[in-house]
Amino acid sequence: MFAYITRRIGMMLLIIGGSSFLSYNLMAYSSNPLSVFGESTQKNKAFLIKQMIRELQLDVPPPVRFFLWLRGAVAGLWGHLDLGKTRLGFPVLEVIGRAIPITFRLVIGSTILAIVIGITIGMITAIRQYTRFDYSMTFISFLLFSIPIFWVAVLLKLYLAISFNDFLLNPTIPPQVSIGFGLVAGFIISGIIGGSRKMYFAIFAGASVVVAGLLEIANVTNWFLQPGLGIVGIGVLAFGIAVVIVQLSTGLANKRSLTAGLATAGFVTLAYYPFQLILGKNAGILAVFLIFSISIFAACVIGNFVEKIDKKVNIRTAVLTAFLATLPILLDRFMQVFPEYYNSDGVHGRVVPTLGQATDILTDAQRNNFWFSGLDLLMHLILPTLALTLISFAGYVRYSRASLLEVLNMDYIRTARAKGLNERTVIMRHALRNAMLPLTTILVNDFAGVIGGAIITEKVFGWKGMGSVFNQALGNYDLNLFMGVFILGSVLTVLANLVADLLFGVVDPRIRIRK
Amino acid sequence: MKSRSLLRAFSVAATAALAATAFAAVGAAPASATQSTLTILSTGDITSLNSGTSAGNTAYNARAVYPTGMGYTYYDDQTNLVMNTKFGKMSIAKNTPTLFSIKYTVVKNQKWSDGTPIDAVDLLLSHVIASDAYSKSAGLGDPSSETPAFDSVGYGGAYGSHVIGLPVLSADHYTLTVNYDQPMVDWQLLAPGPSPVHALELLAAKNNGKSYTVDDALAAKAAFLNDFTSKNTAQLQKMGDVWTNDYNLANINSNTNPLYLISNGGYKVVSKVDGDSMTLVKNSLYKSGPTFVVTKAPVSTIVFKVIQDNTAAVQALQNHNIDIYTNTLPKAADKITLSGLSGVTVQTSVGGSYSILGLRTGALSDGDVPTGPFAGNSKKAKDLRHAFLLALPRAQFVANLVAPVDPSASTLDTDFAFRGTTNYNSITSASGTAEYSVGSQADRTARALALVQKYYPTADADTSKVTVHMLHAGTSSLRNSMAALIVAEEKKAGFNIVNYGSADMFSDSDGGNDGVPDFYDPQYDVSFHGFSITAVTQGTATAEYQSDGGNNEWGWANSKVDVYSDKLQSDVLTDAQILTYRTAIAKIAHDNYWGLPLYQNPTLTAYNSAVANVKPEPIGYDVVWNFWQWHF
Repeated sequence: MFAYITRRIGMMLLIIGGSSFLSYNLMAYSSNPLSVFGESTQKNKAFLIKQMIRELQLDVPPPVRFFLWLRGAVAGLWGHLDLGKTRLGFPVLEVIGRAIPITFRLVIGSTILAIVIGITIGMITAIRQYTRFDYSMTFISFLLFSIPIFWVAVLLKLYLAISFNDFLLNPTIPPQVSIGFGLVAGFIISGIIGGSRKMYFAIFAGASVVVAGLLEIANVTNWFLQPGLGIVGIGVLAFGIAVVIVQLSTGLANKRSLTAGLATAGFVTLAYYPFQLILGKNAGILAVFLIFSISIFAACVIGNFVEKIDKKVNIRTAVLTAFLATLPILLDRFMQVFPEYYNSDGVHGRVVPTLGQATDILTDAQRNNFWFSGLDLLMHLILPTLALTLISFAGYVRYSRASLLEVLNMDYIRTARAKGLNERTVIMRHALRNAMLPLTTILVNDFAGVIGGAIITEKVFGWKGMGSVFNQALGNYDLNLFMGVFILGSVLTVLANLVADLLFGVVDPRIRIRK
Repeated sequence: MKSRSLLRAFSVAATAALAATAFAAVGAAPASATQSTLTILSTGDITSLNSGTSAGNTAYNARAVYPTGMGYTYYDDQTNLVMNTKFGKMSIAKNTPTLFSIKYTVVKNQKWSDGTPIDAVDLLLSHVIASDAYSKSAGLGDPSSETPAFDSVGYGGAYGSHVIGLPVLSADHYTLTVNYDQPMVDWQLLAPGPSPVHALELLAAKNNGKSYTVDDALAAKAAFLNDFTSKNTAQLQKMGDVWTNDYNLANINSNTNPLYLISNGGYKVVSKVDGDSMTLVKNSLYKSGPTFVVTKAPVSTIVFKVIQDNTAAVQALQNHNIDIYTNTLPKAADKITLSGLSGVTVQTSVGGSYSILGLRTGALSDGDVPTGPFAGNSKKAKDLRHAFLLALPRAQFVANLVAPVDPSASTLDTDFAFRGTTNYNSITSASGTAEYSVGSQADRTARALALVQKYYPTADADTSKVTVHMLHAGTSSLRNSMAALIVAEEKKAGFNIVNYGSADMFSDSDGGNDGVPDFYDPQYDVSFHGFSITAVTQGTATAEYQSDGGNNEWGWANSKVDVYSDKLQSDVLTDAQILTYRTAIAKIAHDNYWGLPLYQNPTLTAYNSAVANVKPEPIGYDVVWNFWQWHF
């Protein structure tokens, strides 16, 4: 194992060294920074040209200049890493250090969302193969797969930011739009649940009426300007979550488990008011931890008491329910600052921004208010997260669908069915876990790619993460900056490959890494 | 059973509660807040509060810090250099051939935003960052051969070459006299700018800026004066380090040392988010420039928002995330989109750059002699050059490429004056370049063909007899469209154009010949590109026509032009003399058929109609020049 890793790391260094030499020279020869003076009419042009040659060491041929750069990079091996300064006068390490958290903030949410939604939908389409739902999801994922992100961004900005903000000036949904939303929701929900034709239409009608009805209620209550879930909304969501979790983990037939789940949901609903006291105006991230801890602790207690034997299953169900059901309380708390947010000077009624990382002119009081600045961050994350999720989840849908379908045709699944296990157990225990195996490689590499940044997305949404740093390096003939990003990207990619290979040996018992 | 009854009970309760909230929550819509923040688009990253260093030398930095510093002059939207008498006055104190002194006075009772009085000591830093001799003699490094302590872009210019000794400070410290060894053209442009030198001195002493008094500041200013006059190398080097590096601030917030943020303009910087935005608020001690327009809805905060993507900027304007949008490379599509937005005013104006096409007539500085059909001054070469210029489809460039953005655009007939000014009309009519605007292009092309047929009788649209090599910056789609139009039209006059688009046309990358095409290569007969204008000077455009001019890329040489150019560049002239010399050069250029300016690039500005007095200005800081006039 050790020898294997050492050999791989040795190879890694060789690959990185060679590729950085190549890309340094390609970049250095590809453009000429002095050409900016071509159209200049400045009087001290001669001095400025001399100054630039001196500062960028343009009198040293690029293959030699590479080694000047390499000296600082190799010093990193004994802790004196020096990647030089950018052309704008900042140390490269500092610039990259600032960009990584921003890229993380932008990309991590959408990556997780894309993985969760993508795999979920992929699995459902595999289970409901060749149904209307399968066909429409396949169609949608291929559609999204082929749309370029900048265009998705333009559309999202137009409809979800500009039009939505205009809508908020007079937030009334016309009945035909409510009905339309209802029908779409009905189609999706009935498609997922499936069942006989009669059942399908019943669910379709029910879901359509509920969604359209909810939109009408939102209309009447002026919900869009004063949003909130209230104890009722929290309750509905909590019990809904409980039912879904119980169904997935043990099946609704397990009465003890169901009791644990519902009791937890009841506890979270009742805790809504006490939690409001904890989540006060001056609360911070600690208060958020506190309410989650309380919910989860209560869930453990409930899980412990519903049954004397097999406590583990009940506790697991209750804890999962508690965690997910507490999220809406947090959401509701953010919604409570919405009217204040809407009216603030920095936002002046345009709550969904088309771009940016945060509102620039929050007052100190607003910035120190966890809920206010949190809501501001969420609002700025909505569009880029949605855009990134939409274009990347399609891949996961296709991968996981194919993977699960393959597993479902395996002999051991037939065995499981033959020995009388119910369908839920067959899928959740036997099929799903094995179907996830091939996805490991993709997931690890995608997480490494996260650091590389979303070059186009960051530009279109005005975020200053790794992607825009890379853009800046290319546009400015900033060799040091370019190499900084390149080195980080290549190290991570090579490392991710190694980790994926090692991980595969751990999760899949059929694979062993040879000495 | 138990759980089912629980569910039923719950559903009853839920329905009741839902109904209750439905009626209880009907409230009034929140009123929209009044706006006091103006958000301005910056198409590039703002990286430094000091735009005078080589690293921080970007137009974006200069534009964003303009409202924080007022000096002797600024450009208005008609490209007039306006004297800012609220700050001070300047006048010529002595005007002899060997001594030319200018007296700068500073108006009393002005204060920096930290309360420190402003006087002429604050002008001295300008000498440090523009005089090569001072940098050398103070032990700060010779800017021409090494990186100086103050790594400024101001060295190597007219100030450094002609200033004598140190500027002389009056006893009361409110007047500064600068001496030059010859009369200086455009001396108004050489005016020193004020800098808070006490801040530099305090920063060099590692002061955290949280608790210094006005007395401390005055002591620091006195120390600066002492360091300056005694050329205290060690201390100046420390200050140079601060000046060069420390003003490059990625983020600015309440933890930032306030000494970096001192301003004498209408606004001062309060925060900056790396790569995202910079925020300025009103400076309550502002007295150094025009007074703010009195209004009920002032602009109390300015935000420069960095958006590098054009589509994103347009949508941000549409969503009111920004209030002022500017585009210096606009396309027709931008104009159409912006014009369709409600609540947005769209304005087109003349931009600070123009395109020019030149014919290669002689050798460049590197000595390579061209051999093409346009080289030399024979009658035949001149006739062919004349023919080429006649067939140049300039009107079509304007119609196809500029008019969709700016319908009032027309061709540019001289680069010695901006289109629309009186001088422009007199220069173009006297020089003869108006010839290229009379009649239709078909007529002019027919005349061109006739000229070509004098030497090549069989030449016509189908048989090209004269082969010329043309070079342009091929990376731009605009340049490629222009090249295509030229090739098509010149063919009708019997010219066969070999067209090269080169991304690297401006650099002598191969040191002379072959390899990457650039305009130092002798085989090019025609080239066209843009020139950007950053100041209106007496010697404007002469660098293109003078035989050894820095922008003469075509080997144009004429002894009279050199004499006139010298006069325009270095003699203090009256307006009438300036016009005479400029007209004379334009006439010689026309008589020799050297080349032609093509058109001025337009600028597109679109802004929230609620903002008053947005007036784009072409050559300096764009819309920010008149921040004091803005209001909602």
